[in-house]
Amino acid sequence: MCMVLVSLSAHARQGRKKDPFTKFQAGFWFGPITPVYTTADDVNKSLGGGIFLRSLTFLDSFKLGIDASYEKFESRGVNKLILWPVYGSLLWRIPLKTPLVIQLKAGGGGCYVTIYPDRASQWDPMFMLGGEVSFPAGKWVNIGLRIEYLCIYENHIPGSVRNGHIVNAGISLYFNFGS
Amino acid sequence: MRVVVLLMIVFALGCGKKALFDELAENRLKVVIKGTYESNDPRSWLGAFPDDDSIDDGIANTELPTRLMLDIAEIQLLDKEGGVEPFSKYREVYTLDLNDSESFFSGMGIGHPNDDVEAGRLWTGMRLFLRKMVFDGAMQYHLIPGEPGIGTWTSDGKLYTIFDVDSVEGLDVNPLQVNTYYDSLKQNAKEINRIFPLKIPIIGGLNFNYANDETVLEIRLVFKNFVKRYEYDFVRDGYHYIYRYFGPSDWLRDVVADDAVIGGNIIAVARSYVRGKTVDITNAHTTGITVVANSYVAAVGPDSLCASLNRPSVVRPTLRTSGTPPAQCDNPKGPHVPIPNDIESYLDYYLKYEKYKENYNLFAACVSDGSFSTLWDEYNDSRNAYLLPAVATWTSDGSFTLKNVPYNSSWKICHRQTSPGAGDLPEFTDNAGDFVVVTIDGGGNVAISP
Repeated sequence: MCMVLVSLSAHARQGRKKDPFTKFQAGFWFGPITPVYTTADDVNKSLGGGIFLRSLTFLDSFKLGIDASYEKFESRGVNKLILWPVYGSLLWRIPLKTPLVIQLKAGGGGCYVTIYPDRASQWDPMFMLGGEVSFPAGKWVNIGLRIEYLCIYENHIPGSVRNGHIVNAGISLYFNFGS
Repeated sequence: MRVVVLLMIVFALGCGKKALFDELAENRLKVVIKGTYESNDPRSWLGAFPDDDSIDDGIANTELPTRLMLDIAEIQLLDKEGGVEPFSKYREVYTLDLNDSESFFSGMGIGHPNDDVEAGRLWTGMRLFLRKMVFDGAMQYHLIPGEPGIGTWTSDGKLYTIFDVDSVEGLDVNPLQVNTYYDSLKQNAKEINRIFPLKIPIIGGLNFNYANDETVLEIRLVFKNFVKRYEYDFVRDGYHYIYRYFGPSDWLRDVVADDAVIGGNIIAVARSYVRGKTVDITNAHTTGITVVANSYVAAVGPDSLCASLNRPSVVRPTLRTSGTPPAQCDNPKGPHVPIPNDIESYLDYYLKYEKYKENYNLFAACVSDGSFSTLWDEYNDSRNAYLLPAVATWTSDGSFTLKNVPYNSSWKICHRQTSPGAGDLPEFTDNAGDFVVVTIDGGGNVAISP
């Protein structure tokens, strides 16, 4: 009986080693960034991108992530919006026994907002909800798709009536580190 | 606990900040466009649309315009260094009834979409891109053969044009406003475009500051009581056609018979003021002049002449018919082609052609001695220098209010008793009793200068 358990445990460890999800990951993404809701009235959709880190937690189904991205939105006129969202997130892997890794994520952080022609900048709190899908493309690389909604929260400022609402989508490239 | 700390950090990021997304969505700069000479309380429509002296063919027609249609593609701001800010890249179409309750003509003005602009720069002018300008009431006529001599003019009905996708009654007069007549005499006439864009000076400039809640940029295009009927001649399939159409008065740049273009007569000006930092100048502030009923009151810079608001004294050079050396000269226009199949009409044409050749010889002499370019340059320069008043109003009973005159400014308030007819602008004098200089300080106090 003991031998069987040891054998299963070893097999699980080996399986975990092969699963890229269980490795520390770093990567970047690139794709369309879309202002939605009230923000869509002021600026146009564009292309953006960013970098991210994913680290393991003590729970196999969860990872911690840190993301930073650059997002620049133009408008028909002279209005312009530049965002630097930097946020942490908790990612939960949906337990499916497929090579496809599907993760849901939620997080928060800060976003450095600059608007033109005002040339005004500041850090605002922000929240994020989203999901990622990825599959292994060899031992070191995962390729994935992501979609996330960012809420740049300004309603806590007295007199404010609008928040920033952005939907990011894109192709992600994950680099897997560790044995 | 960690979550609470994290949230505290997150919210701390927003402390003492501005609502940037509100700033992005809302404008502190408001553009208002008015179709009046007056900046407030304009004179009522006179209901008169005089015939221009370009009308020399055809029959009398009684069609009158009832509306003006404007298609504005974009507005740009210009600074002194030549910098351009496309702060209003919003195409808008306006159909404006020619009556006193229409905001465009009532003195209230119509709001035009725009973005805020960069602060700390002095914007001194703007470019207004007018795609179309249509007055309804335009008619077409043609000369039918078969009659001896001049023939008979017959109506072909109303003219129609495309405006905002739809076919509408009227004629787009923009193509005729690309050039002034002066421009059409130049070799590079095709490179000149006075309507797309139309350049408009901002008197006093626009110095935008985000610290002010609302800054108004007021643009005035003179249309009210400033519309005339014109005639445009052309030949098609051997027949002589004319359009009878309506356009801005040729008060500034005279249009004569058989001129193909009417450009340079959209008289426009802009100014800016900060809401809450203005005063209203009234009779009480202008003791020293007696304002009578049915007259204009206008403001110019303190060092300017009231007479600078008048039509420049230089007159359009005309064909020299006598005298040497030539004092006046204009390019003579050839006669129209005759009515087909009418021998008398052909004879009439050749007689006119002989007269045309004689006139052309006179004109050639005028060109040879350099008078032609000198006189026309002088005429054009005088017109280019013309400026509308920054602020103006009409009074029907002698009491007046010049609204929204900005703080920290000084003005010569001009008044003249005579009131112009339709198609004309008021003219002022600098005689004692016709003007007074007022100065407004930073607190809104008005002082009359001795």
